[in-house]
Amino acid sequence: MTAFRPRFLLIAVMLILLTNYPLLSISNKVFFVAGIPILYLYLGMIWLLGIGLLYFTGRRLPKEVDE
Amino acid sequence: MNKALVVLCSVAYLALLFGIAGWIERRKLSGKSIPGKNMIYPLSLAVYCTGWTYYGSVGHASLHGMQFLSIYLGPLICCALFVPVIQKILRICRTQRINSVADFISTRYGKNFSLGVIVTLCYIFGVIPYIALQLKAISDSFHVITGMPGYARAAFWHDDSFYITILLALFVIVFGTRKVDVLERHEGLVGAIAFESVIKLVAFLIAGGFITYGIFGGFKDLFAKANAAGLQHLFIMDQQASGYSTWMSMILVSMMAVVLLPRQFQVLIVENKQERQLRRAIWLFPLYLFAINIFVMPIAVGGILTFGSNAGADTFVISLPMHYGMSALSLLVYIGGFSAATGMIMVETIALATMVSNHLILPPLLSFRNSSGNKKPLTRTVLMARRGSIIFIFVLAFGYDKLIAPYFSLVSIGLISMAAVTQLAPAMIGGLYWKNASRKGAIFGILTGFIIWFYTLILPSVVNAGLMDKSITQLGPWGIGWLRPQALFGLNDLELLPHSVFWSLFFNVLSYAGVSIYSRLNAQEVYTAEIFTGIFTHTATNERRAIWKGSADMKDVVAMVANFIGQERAENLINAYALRHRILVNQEDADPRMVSFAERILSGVIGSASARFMISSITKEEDIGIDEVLSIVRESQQVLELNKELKKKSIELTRATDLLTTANRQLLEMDGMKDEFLNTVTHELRTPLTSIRALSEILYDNPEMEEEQRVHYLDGIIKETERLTRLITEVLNLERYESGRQKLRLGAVDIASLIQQVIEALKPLAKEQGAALELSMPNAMFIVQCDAEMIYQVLYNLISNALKFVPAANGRVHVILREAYTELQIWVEDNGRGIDPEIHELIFDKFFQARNQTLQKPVGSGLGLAICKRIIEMHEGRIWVESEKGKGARFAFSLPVN
Repeated sequence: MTAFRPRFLLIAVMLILLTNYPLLSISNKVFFVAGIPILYLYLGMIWLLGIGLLYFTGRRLPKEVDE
Repeated sequence: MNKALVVLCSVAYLALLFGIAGWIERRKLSGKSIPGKNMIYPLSLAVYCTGWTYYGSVGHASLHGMQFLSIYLGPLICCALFVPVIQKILRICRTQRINSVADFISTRYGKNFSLGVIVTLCYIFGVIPYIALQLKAISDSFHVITGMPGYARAAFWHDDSFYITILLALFVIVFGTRKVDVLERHEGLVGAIAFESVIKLVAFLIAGGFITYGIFGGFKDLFAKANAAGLQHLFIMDQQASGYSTWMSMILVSMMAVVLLPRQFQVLIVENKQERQLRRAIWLFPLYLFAINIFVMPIAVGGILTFGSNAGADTFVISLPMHYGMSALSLLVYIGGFSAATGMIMVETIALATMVSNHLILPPLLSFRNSSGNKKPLTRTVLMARRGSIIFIFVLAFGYDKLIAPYFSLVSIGLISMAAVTQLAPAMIGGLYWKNASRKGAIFGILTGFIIWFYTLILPSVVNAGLMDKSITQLGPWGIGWLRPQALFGLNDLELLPHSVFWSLFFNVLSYAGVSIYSRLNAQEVYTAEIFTGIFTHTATNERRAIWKGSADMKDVVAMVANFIGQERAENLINAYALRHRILVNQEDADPRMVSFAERILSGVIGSASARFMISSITKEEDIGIDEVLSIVRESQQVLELNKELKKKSIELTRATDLLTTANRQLLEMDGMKDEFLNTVTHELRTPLTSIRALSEILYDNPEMEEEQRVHYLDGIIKETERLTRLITEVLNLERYESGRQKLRLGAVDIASLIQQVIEALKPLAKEQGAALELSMPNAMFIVQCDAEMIYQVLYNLISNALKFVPAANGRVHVILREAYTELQIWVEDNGRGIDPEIHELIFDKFFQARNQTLQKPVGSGLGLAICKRIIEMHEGRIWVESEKGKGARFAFSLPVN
């Protein structure tokens, strides 16, 4: 159990950095990729990345988390 | 659209919710499983998406572009913290039977009454407007879909939302106050919430899909049109520093809100059945948020493109389908929004009502009853208090909706609520990890934060809504400019929300930490601090060891518990606990552990502070000093650690014993083998000795023997002696190989020439046996790393063996050298009598031949093949035999080629 805490904390820190200034300012521009605004695309990607990481990290949690 | 139809649909929808909740509770009672029950928990978390999400997100997006997403990115980040942080809260709440944030904070800081009251009041101020907002969302959408003018100032009994409110209150009372123990989960209600989450998501996705792909030509088309119409500012967010600070503050407050809003705490913590449910929730909940947000921007853009401006953007979701004449779709959208709003109202009200009744109503009520000596059962009182609180909350929310809400937009109220509950975060998070945090620190922190929240966020909003004179925001209170609520201490770079979040948290944390550092903890605080911060080590100790000194009558304790939860249930719980911890129930004085247990049961019903109060009223308590508390806590911690240590030692010991047992078995086996070996060897040695002795005796007894016969006997003696010598040499050799004392003297050896040497040496024997000895090998040189002498011996043994067994006439031994992948194989084939496949494995055993002694005199010692096998194994090669009875035999071995 304890071994998983750092992994989740790492994901949280990464998400915070990716969704805030200054990294966010890179894609905070009027610019279109394949017709889609880049910020819209960027945040969507980060979101899916976060979900994927949480899914795969959570799946490895020991079954008997309760004790 | 027809008003009666819409009303009918709303009522039918609520009836469906009643039906679902009732059905789930009935199924649970009859022990049947509920379909999709693994999804209920993650879906119920989506109660986070309220009418504000459903309608307000589009409104927000049409004004501030991508900024609305931050409110859903916060929860995503928070999900990453579920396992490290929320799990700890879950464990604490389960063991301490905590049922709300107010209860959590008051329990953490020494089961303190005033903290419970303060937190509850904060919630009433912060969250009632949020509930009112949902009522407003319902009536706004109602007015849009029926085409009636919004906010006609009719008397409230003419207002349809009044009747919907009454229905909702009824639902909450029926399904939210079934049982007196708050920790008894509301399965029916949560199931209904999960169902609502599905409805609102599906409705929103259908509407979004219709607007994006039905009205417009997909994302690309919409964005291109918006670009042409000059709406680029919606595709980004404010690039100024203030824009980023607003974004960051919204992420922060939404991260806190997803746990600390009463409804979130209710579904996330109180309604959680097992900690392992988090595993699924951490990715499903963000996925839900992702899905419900995909179409927000397209709808906002589509609305602006269709209607020409962002006026009325809060209801674009419903007005767009209406505009294009899709009545059925707009009704579906309306129901979706209705479900988003009602779900929030129901859970928020139950959670809030628990806090109001447990921290505001019951404490004075209970203390009054206690002093008046009234001993009637309290179950009904508790339930009535809770129902009364629900009605009180509904009245407040409805009144707020009618009187104040018209002046605010949907967005502002939601964020204001979130900023309010964020003020509880320092006391909550600090309480999880910081042992020295004190009750005074928590009270100061929360109060300071809340006052600043009110001053910097509510006051300017009220002024902006035109309900107050503008002078306070323009000139400052009493004309003091640096006290202006939206630019406190001259900080005028920030927008309203980040400004308020910054200052309120700044002073909140500062006073929480500062006061905590300079205050002394009392015994109860020290105890709860130890329990909360070290919950993972204390889960077990907490049950076993009670921090309570005094005397209590067992009968009183049982009566007190029965008073709240009923005689039968009380006895069941107490007997089960007594059995588990081997406590005698029939004695007069209550065991301290039993008193603590009773207190925990009561905590689940009336909150920990009231429970503490009730228990102390029936017992004679002695004060416990801090030293004593600490020593008890430390002692149990030490016992726990000792236990852990012992367990580790015991595992190590078991492992060592296992090893020893195996070793012993091996030794015994080897001992047996050695005995057998000795037996066979001596037997084998005796045979030639007997012959020698017999022959010698004959010679001795007959000195007159003829020359020819004497030579014959002497020859026999010499042969037997040779056999004896060979046998002894071989036994010694084998022993050397097996003990590992014989080291390989590896060298590069040309196998072909080695074979030729052996064949050369054996030619006389072949001649003697009248057998042909042939060799076939590829025309090449084969250099192998091996011990030439040993391999020579193997070859010699195999070929001479073969020669011994060929028939007297046309005997033939064929030696073949061949390459096979990574090894070099040498076959020795003969046309002898062959070997039964059954003994192919056994043939390489020591003395195999001897053990299967036939009437014939053995040829050889029976050790030759065993020695060959040992030598080849030392070279990491293989040795085997292929043969059938009567068809000759092929002995083969291989040597690895590197």
